[in-house]
Amino acid sequence: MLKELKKLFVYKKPSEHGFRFPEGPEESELWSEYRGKINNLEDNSETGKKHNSGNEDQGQDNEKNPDLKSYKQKNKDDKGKTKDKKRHNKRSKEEQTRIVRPMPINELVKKKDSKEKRNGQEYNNTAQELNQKCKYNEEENKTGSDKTEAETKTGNKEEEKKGASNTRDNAPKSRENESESKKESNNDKDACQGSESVSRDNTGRSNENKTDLKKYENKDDSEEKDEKSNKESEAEPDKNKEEMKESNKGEDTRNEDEENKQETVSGSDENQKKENAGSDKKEEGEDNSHNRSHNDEHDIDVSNSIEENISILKDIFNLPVNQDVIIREFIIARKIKACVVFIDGMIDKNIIIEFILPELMNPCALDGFETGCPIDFLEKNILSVHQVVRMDNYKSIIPQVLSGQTVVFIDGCNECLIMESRGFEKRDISVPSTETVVNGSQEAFTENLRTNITLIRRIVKNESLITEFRIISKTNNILAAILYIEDITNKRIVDEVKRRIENLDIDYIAGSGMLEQLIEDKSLLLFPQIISTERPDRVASFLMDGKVVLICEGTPFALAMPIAFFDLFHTSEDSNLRWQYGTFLRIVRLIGTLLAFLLPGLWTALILFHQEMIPTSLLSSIVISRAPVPFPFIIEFLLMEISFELIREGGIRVPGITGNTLGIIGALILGQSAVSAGLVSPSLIIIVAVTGLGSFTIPNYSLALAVRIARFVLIGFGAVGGLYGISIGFTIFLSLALGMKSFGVPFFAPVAPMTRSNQDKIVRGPLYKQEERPDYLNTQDEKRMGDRPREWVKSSTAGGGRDNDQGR
Amino acid sequence: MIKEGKFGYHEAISVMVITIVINAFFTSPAILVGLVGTTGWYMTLISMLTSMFAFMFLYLLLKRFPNKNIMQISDVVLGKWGSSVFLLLFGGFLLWTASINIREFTEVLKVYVLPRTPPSFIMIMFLITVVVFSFLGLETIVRFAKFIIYILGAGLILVILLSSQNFEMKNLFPILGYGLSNTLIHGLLRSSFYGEIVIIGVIASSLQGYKEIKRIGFSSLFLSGFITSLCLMVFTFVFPYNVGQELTSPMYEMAALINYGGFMQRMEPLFLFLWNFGSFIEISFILYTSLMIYCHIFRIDDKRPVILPMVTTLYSLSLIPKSIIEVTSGLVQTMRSWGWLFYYIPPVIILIIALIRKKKGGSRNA
Repeated sequence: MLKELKKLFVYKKPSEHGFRFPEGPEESELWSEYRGKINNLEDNSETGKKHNSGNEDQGQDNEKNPDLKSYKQKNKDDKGKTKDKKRHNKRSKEEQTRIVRPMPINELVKKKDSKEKRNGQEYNNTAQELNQKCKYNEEENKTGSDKTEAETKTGNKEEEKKGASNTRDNAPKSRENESESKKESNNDKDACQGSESVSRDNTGRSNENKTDLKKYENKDDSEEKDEKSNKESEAEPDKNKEEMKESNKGEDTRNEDEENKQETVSGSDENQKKENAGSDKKEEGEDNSHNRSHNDEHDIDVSNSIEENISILKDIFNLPVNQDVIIREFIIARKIKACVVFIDGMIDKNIIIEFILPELMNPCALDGFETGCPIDFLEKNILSVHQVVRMDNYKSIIPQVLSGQTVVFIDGCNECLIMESRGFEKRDISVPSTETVVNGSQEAFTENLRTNITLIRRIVKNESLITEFRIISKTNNILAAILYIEDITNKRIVDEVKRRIENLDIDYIAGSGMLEQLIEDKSLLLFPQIISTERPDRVASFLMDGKVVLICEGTPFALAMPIAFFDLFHTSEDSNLRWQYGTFLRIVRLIGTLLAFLLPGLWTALILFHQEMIPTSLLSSIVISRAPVPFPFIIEFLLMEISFELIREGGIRVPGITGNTLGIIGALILGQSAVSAGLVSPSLIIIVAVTGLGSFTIPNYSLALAVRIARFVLIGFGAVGGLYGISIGFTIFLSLALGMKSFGVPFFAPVAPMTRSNQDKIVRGPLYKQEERPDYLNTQDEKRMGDRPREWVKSSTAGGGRDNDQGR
Repeated sequence: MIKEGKFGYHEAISVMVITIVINAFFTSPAILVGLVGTTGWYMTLISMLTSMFAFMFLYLLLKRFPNKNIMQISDVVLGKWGSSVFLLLFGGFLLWTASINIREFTEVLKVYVLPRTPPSFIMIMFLITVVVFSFLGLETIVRFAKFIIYILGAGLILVILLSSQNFEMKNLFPILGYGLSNTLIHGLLRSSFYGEIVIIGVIASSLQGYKEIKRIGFSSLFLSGFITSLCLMVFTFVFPYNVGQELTSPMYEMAALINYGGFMQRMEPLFLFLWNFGSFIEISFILYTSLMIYCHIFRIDDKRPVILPMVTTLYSLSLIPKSIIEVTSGLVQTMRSWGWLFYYIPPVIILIIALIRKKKGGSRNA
């Protein structure tokens, strides 16, 4: 029983991995050089020394070759000698993995199970610590790796001569082992090259170095694979031989063209390209490795063997533990094995039941197809799904499966088919909840990205409306869309938005709210620098102005940038109404904002410092009403303001009808009761109510919250300095806002600084006079109207002519 | 590092006009009435013309050295050490001006609004705003000025219109006051009232060229003169000259007299906002230019560490005068009468030296 328990905690013996000692000193030196341990020897020797307390015999060996030291220790443990075996096993997991990891000979690692993976991951975590100590010398390591590449090739060839031939059964495992060894060799290189991203990456893999490593490994692997496949083909039937050869060729070509592959819709492919360019950017000081999903670790090509593909998928998706992922095996036309992979609940089952499986399982499906891989034939002739894409690397495939696509793997093909089959439950389009209007569209965004983009495209039917996708978080792989109009938007704004998004290194982003906080200019300031809206018509107007829009899946809001202060006051209703009504509504909103911001502070200042300003009759009634109140004015005021905020917040959080009722009843009863009890004065209730009403008129939720916070600060200033204090507080807030910028655009443009603009700030001029786009955006196309936007108005005398009194 | 950046015509005019005109809201009109009687409203126009004449020399100097500010010009003309002495005096004078202005503001506030508040408290609160402005930079100051000038202008017009109920045309007579010569002499001397116009030389590198500087300078002086003259005229309409010279702040008193029934009366605290905003801009602007000069002398790139010590110095200087009498009748009066020596003479001297030494700035490319 103890032995079984030990197996759970003790790392497997190296001998079980096929580890062997170097046959001679020369080979030992070769292996050491390959491992790149020259730079790590010092560090390893330190850690080795720690674990080798009291072992004088091994002292010299420790200094020269700590790996050898740890290996010797391991041998001792294997012999079951020492008491501190457990201790050694526990403490030297690093050493154990270090012994196994640097194995350059991939075929030595044959067995792969989940424990190895875990151990490898644990190793990677510890490797991070080691990496931080390593000296960073990419050139030396590269040259070193080049040398060791040649050396290991010779070593590999020698081993292959001596080693047993690989059977077909071992082929998939060997491929798995190759992939594992790839990871291991990556980690090996990481230990020496020690990039910063390794320390940040949870899996301890260096994405940036991977690009360099890939070239090396792919070459190495391709040669090894060639040799293996040649051997295997001798023992296998002709079919398999041909398949293996094709796969090897395919691998070779893929390895050569890997960097030149075109991007797919998935953002992870774009990230892959950036990954390839990441090494260059790193020299410039930028680090693009942060903006990549963890799927980089699944950089495995699709195998020709269906069994191998299935085993890879099971490995990646942790099957059978993970019961969401379905792998349905079937036979195409009773001839070729295949499987379909999807996530239960994310797909529209009817597509699979009616359009994929019946088509493929039809005995006549392969009529007209002769030999080879039928993927092209099936894609073009059999499958009646509207959108089909072919992919050959799991790094691209996995995100597709996770987003609800269906993937078909076919035996004998090194590509798979990705079919659009998303059918997860999603919310219907509903009315906006935060930006209601009377005269205007009643549609709002939903949590689904495609639906939101469609809503915008229904309004902006322009071929220049560009939608770019990016995966913005590492672990939950959430997708964001960048929208802009190519012919209008300033390219620098687009580039800046992309730069900020692509340089995010964050684990989890829930939606647009979090994304907004991560890309705004000054997160410490109170005022928003990005506008968030749930209305497609507003987004369309932003796009037409020349702004860039970001839509993130998961929240029914879109972000538009850059913005100016006056954008926060506008609603879509202003444009839908006549200019007089729109202007009136804007003035009302401005008054409401000023009341919400200044009224509490002004009232405090008047009551405490400037009573002479209050008319005598009003002053007397205030004095009488405040007489029974036991609290000082400032306490009374803060009490009421906080109560109001509690009622407001409680009304939002309490669900259903109760929430609405709570607000009304709470305010009425609480206010009335408080006045009756003599806790507050009636005039204060009025002030608090008017302040609340003023804040409700602010159309932008972020600005409303900012004003709600700022008014408390002004109450403090008013209590301290009267109107003088209010003026100081107002000046500080205004100066901070004036100094703000939103993606390079001053926040109070076009007033300060003064720029050319339409009459559309507070007073909204007639629509046909809004001829130009906002000047502060420096759009490519500044004119949004012709010289005569209303051609139907006859141009005649200044008076319009006797028979034409229209258009005036 | 604070980037000064560039700003335009409107922003520059706004900040210059506010910096000059705000002085008319405090004790200067009362002193003026004591000196020239009822002729203050056109005496200030004489001061304005004198100031324009003096500004011409500054303009010629800046034109001779395009795209350079007065600090860089003095480096070229006077050499390193001479320039340092000159700039130190000039910057020190600006700092002293700011300290007097802030003390004057504090005293007026104490008299009318916060009588029981210690002056140090008022000044500290004021200086918090100045510190915020200084950290945000010159761009923010001028943008604030641009933004607030509309409110100030509307407020001023409102005061004038609402005070019209108290106008009496006979208060304007005798039209020559204490004599034309007296008016002329004080007009020439008190051209220091518009002396802050030379600050354009300090911020010249943030403007759009010497032609723009010319427009800004003359436009600012013209507007400032017009507004000041209007204020003094209105003040003269409301208060006879024998009453006006007894008031601490005639403009405040004028606003206090507004009475349109039981509801619209005693509205002067509302106009306190105008004076506060104007004073914030003026003091912050003058302090920032003094800061710029200081950092130029000692080759300091980042101004931010110098802001707090400079503000502390300003605070200390402003606490030196013992009472409001010393401030208004002593320091302010001295500054208004003799400040032109420090405002207008130095650019003339530099220009003369530049002409003698044949120093010139780089020519503009075709």
